[in-house]
Amino acid sequence: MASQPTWLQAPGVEADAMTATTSTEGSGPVARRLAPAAVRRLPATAGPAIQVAGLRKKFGHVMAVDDVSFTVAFGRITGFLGPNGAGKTTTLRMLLGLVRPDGGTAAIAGKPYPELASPAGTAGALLAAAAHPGRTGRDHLRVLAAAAGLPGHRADELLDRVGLAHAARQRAGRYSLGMRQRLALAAALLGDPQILILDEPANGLDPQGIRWLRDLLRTLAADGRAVLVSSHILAEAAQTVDDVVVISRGRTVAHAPLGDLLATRPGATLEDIYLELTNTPEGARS
Amino acid sequence: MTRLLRADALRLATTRAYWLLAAGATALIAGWITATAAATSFTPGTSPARTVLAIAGLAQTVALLTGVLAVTSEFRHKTITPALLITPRRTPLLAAKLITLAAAGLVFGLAATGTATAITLPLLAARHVPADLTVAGAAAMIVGGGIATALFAALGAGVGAIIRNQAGAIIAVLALLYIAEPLLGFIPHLGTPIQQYGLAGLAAGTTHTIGFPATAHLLSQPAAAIVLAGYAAVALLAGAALLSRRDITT
Repeated sequence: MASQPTWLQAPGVEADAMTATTSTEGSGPVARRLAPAAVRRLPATAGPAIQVAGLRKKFGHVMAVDDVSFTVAFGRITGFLGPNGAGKTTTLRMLLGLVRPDGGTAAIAGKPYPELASPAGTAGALLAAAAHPGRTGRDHLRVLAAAAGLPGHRADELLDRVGLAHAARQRAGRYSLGMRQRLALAAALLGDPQILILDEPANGLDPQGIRWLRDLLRTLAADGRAVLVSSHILAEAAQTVDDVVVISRGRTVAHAPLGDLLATRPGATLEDIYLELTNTPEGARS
Repeated sequence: MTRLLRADALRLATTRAYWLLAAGATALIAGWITATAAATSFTPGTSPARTVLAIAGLAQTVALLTGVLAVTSEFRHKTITPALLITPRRTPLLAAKLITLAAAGLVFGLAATGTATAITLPLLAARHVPADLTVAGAAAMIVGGGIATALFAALGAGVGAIIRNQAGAIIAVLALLYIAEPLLGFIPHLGTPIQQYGLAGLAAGTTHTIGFPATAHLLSQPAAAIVLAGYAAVALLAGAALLSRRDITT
């Protein structure tokens, strides 16, 4: 790590909303729109929302995650980028206690996710657009709300928020992929968490849906929430994220504010930089 | 835990497949029992009522399959991921499923066996066939039917947690129940233990109906229920241990 240029280092945890609002990138493609009210909502002693250090995981003989480290700050959208098979999903599943790491640590709000007193109230996650096909979208959310100790009307509020109120009483088996993504997003938001972890949330969304999602993520971050969003749609990420984590072949290869990353190569796009970072010398990956 | 139980009750109640399965099984039991009680000539030496009511044992098979389905569908439809995101501690999640399924199994078992008894006794009386069943005996059968069905649902949940593949788990329990046990039951020396300690024999023992074959030696109702509960406990403990260790990648 010592030999890496400074923009590969973790951005300081204190790179918070105040620096974002005063940063010079405000006029660039990545407008940091943080209301002063949002800054006040941040906990006074807020550590990183998410801290991942040296995560490793092997499935059989396949090294899925080799050495992934990054932090995610409150009030910012962090894009988690990498090629298919780079280990994004496995990293997120380790972060959420679904997959047991072989090494390293992952903490959400300072604790391993399963040890949080109120997991759903602390972090909400979208990992699989999964619902029982025989259950209505509304009932799917009511089951999860009951498990989280939340009142049933949260289900209706969230369906409204993700634009599924019209399909609330339709069975999820008849939902399109985009509708299932919205349902999964509603599930992630159920507990009104301060931290959002979203794996490819734009999957299956139409252009209107993608715009809606982008606005939603920005609103969430402007509220002071931390948003970690994985994607391989770089043009979309470039319009949405504040910070970037790039992983390739199970390793973190970049971790920096988007503006800093773009400043290293004047004239280059996020795509240019990403392709260079993830293009391995062996040429094993196209 | 109350939250989890409420969530699981809602899960079961909002899935149409379980209602259809319960309704279909009850209709099948009622129809089959009506035909048997109305038309069969009974072998002397066996209790006609116990022979007819053995048909209600279908309730236990359905409960076993429902238990398997309830757990494996979480993996098949990947809903285990959202469920574990809300409830990251896996053993309480399985425990809640077990309690919910056992409670539903108890109600279904009481209803199915009760319905079966209510059909059988008047039909036998109308044919002037002595039922060979006291009121206390009938009550013990109905209660036994409830308990056996609850335990089979719990056993199914345990099997589902061990064999997460839905088709694989269903084939495994059906093959055990309908192929392996009857075949092994015909092997000399092995026959009696299989008739007593096999799943079919334990179901018949717990409900105090006749076994397969009709001359099979069965355990008493309490003994059969205890052994069955032991099987369910072993399956659930193994299932819980595996669920805690396994990576959830779907």
